[in-house]
Amino acid sequence: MKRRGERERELQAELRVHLDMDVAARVAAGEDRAAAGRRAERQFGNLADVAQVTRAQWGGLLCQALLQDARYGLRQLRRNPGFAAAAILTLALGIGASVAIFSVVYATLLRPLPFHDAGRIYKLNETTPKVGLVSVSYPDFQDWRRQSRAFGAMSYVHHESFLLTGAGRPRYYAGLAVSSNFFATLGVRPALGRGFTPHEAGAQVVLSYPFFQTLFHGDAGATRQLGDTLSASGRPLPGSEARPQPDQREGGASKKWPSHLGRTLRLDGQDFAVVGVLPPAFRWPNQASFLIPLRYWIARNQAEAADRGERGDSAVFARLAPGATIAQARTGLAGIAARLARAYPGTNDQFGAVATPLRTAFVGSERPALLALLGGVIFLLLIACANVANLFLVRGAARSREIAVRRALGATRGRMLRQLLTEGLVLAGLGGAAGLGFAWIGVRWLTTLVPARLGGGAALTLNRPVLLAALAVVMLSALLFGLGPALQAARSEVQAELKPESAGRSLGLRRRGLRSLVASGELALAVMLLIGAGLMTQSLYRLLHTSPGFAPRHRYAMEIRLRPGYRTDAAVVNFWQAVLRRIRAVPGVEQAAVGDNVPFTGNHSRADITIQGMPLPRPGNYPHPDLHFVSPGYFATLGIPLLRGRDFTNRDNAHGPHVAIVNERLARRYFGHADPVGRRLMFGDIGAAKPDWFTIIGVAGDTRMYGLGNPSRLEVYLSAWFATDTDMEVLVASPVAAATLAPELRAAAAAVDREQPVFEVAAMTSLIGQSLATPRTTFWLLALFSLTALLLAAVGVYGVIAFSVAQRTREIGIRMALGARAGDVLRSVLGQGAALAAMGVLAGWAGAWALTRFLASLLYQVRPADPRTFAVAAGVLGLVALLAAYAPARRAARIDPLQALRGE
Amino acid sequence: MAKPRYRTRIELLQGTLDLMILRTLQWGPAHGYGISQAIRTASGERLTVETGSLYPALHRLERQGWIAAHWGVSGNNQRARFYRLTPLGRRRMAEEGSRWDVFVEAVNRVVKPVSEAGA
Repeated sequence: MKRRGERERELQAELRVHLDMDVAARVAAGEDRAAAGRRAERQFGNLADVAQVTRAQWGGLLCQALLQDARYGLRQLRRNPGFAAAAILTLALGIGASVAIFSVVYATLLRPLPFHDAGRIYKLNETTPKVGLVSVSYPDFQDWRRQSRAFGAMSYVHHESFLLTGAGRPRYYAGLAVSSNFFATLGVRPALGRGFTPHEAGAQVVLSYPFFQTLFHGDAGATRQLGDTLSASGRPLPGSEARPQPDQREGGASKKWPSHLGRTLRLDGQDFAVVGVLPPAFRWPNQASFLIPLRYWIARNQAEAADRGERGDSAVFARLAPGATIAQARTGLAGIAARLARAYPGTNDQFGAVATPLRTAFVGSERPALLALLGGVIFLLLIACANVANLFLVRGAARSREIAVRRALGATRGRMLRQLLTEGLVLAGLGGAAGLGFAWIGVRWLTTLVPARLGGGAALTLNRPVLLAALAVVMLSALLFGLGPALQAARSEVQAELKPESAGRSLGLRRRGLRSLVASGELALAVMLLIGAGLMTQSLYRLLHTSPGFAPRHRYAMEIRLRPGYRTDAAVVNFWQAVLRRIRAVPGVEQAAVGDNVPFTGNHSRADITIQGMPLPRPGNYPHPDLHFVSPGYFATLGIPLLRGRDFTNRDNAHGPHVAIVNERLARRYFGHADPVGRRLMFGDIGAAKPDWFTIIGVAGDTRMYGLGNPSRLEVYLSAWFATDTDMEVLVASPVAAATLAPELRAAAAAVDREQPVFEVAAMTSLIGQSLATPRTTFWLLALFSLTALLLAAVGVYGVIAFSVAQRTREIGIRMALGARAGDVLRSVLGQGAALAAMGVLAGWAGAWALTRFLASLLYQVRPADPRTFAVAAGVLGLVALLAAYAPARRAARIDPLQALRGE
Repeated sequence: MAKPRYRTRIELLQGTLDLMILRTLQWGPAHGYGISQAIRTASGERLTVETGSLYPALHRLERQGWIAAHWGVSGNNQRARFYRLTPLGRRRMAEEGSRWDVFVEAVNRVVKPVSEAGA
């Protein structure tokens, strides 16, 4: 097939030759040259027209015709920018929202898992009637693996975090200890190097790809070198750990390499040889930076691994044997579990075993919410399409004469249908392009909103499947909104349309009613969403103005989990005191303290207490306060008011008197207006051996430990020097910015113990912010949805009213001829908008009344049926509906009666 | 819109024009101008084929594989696009020809019923 341009040149040449030949023949016959040229040209006709009709015969070339239609459609859109803008914006909103949400759904629910034949892999758990799914103990796993026939391979995976030292500052990383057949079971092949082998000496580690990159600081040279080594030899170079990597290509790059981390990692104080790197696509439900052989974990945790009742943090993954079905496998597994329950009643009584598809393990509990969200955006898209169809009808009414003229000039129905559908496609294409822009913004925003762990590290991107889905959405919406109006227009009778008195009045009342219904439905939806967003706004506002019971500004927390090696309580206390001394010396630090269960960190512990002299409650009904171990200065550091008595001092230590501080709520509840200072309480219930009384020395203000929306509970504080913990938050009060402060705090900790890792420094304000994530996400989603719904409803109202004005042009003309003034017409059309709005508001109120109670658990100090919110939503909606009705109303008021009656 | 202008005429002429083109080409390859002149001459100056009908017909017949085109040099040394009949076109011409005969006979019976019926 020749290229089109070449064909075009040939055609021009061919026609030109024809003309030349005619001229030549005429001259030869004796005509004057100039006259011959004129006559030949007249005889020939318009060259461009001939070329065009000839070109039309080059078949296969529907696309050429489509392109022409598309160009024509674009011209039409340009001629009517208001219509084009409204339609494109509407579509862009609908398509953008759908694509953005679909990208989340794809990433979490649909994206293929990076395992070979993943459909045959199952996650196995033990179950108990009480708790449901639990982990699998190692002895049970061994029996399952020995006895199961239908599962061809079974791999045990234990989650554990490891302390990495020797690579920058010491840090904890999550890793997996896996059976050596992990790679075969899951069908994963390392991207570099190899996996584990069953009887291998020494300790090996396989890195995740992101961790591999972090470790080598994205240093291309070093990465390539390590990659070469791994793929060439399949094992690390001997003796490489003592040698930094000299890199001639990039000067200074080798400095990033800690000298003793050549090709080994130091995890929990032991060297692991890096033998492989997982492929970039690998992901896991729980984040994992590396894999180590299970053998190593068993050696370190022999008691746990041998205990059949120890169901810790482990999972079993199994692949069906070739030819076996999951039904067979489940039956087999149930049989094994039943046998184990009989053989080991002490640990396995009532324990069953279940197999769930691997996909389920990756998706988790977010599935229903995501599907609901997807349903929501698809609904929005449908509304958008209904709106655009409406707009098309409005324009169709205006264009009906043009279409009739073209029909009369010989365009077939099919041709007109094609023309109008192509115009729809052009519109959908433009809307889709703008929609992708919205989706791109939306995806970036969703990435900050959606918890990162969702879907096992699934990245949100506008990738090819998502783009394909977007394309399908565009085509589908073009068909949805284009077909109806196109059929309508193509069906219209030429004769009727060309008669002046019937300018576009072929639609029955029933259809007009349907369109009004759709518009009020949109308004109702917008009202419901507005009410939801309004309730969340108020709730958030109140939450943000609720005091947490302490002063979060300029307060920072840094968790330190002491590494193994601090064997005595005295050593632990010494560490904390030394760290606090160093930190208090940091410039800008005003106060510092440690505490184990700091508000908003999610840590907590509770205990039953007995208060001396109180009427003894029944067992199970003892006061059950939150328990804190805090250092002296804790209250001052966090800004918790000390209402009575005194703070702890350094003398309230292991050898000092037993003292406690209680919170105001506890004091009020059990001592009323009496002063609790000097009274005593004990842990546990009295009646046991010798009571161990703690004297109350002070009363602190209440804090909202569990979130701003959660009321404060009973709290008891004990001195951290009295009984200490190895896992504490270091708290700092300082006006210095976190970015400046963090390195100083880390340096202070490192100065006490260079090998000791610390966690990130978190501002108390951001901890509070995180605690509001769910209401905030809900608020944003509702706000976005309601804004979109509001815009769509406005377009819908506009469409319905503009269409009715277009149809009533003659009627309005007659009224005006009979003396109606512009103001009357304006009011009557606006009244139509108001009627739509009223219907929408009533339906929306009813819907909101029924639905907002599902928001109740997210609301704080706002009733789900808050009348003010309902009123404001209705007001906003009415205003928007009137604004949308105003443009067609003004057009109606400007109708020239003479022109309207003449039908032009 | 310029497009519909020739449409009806093409449709009217389509069958007959195709046949006339095929017939003309059975004497050997010819360019578009040559074909139009041949038809004019053969019809005794009574039929003039408009370029707006001729070229679409030529390109359509070419696409259907009944005629083939190549660039050649004309009698007075001018490069022109020549059309020739393909074997497929030759067959087609025979079929169209007999259909034409049937058609002409049928029309004649209607138009001149008395004389024909009597014969």
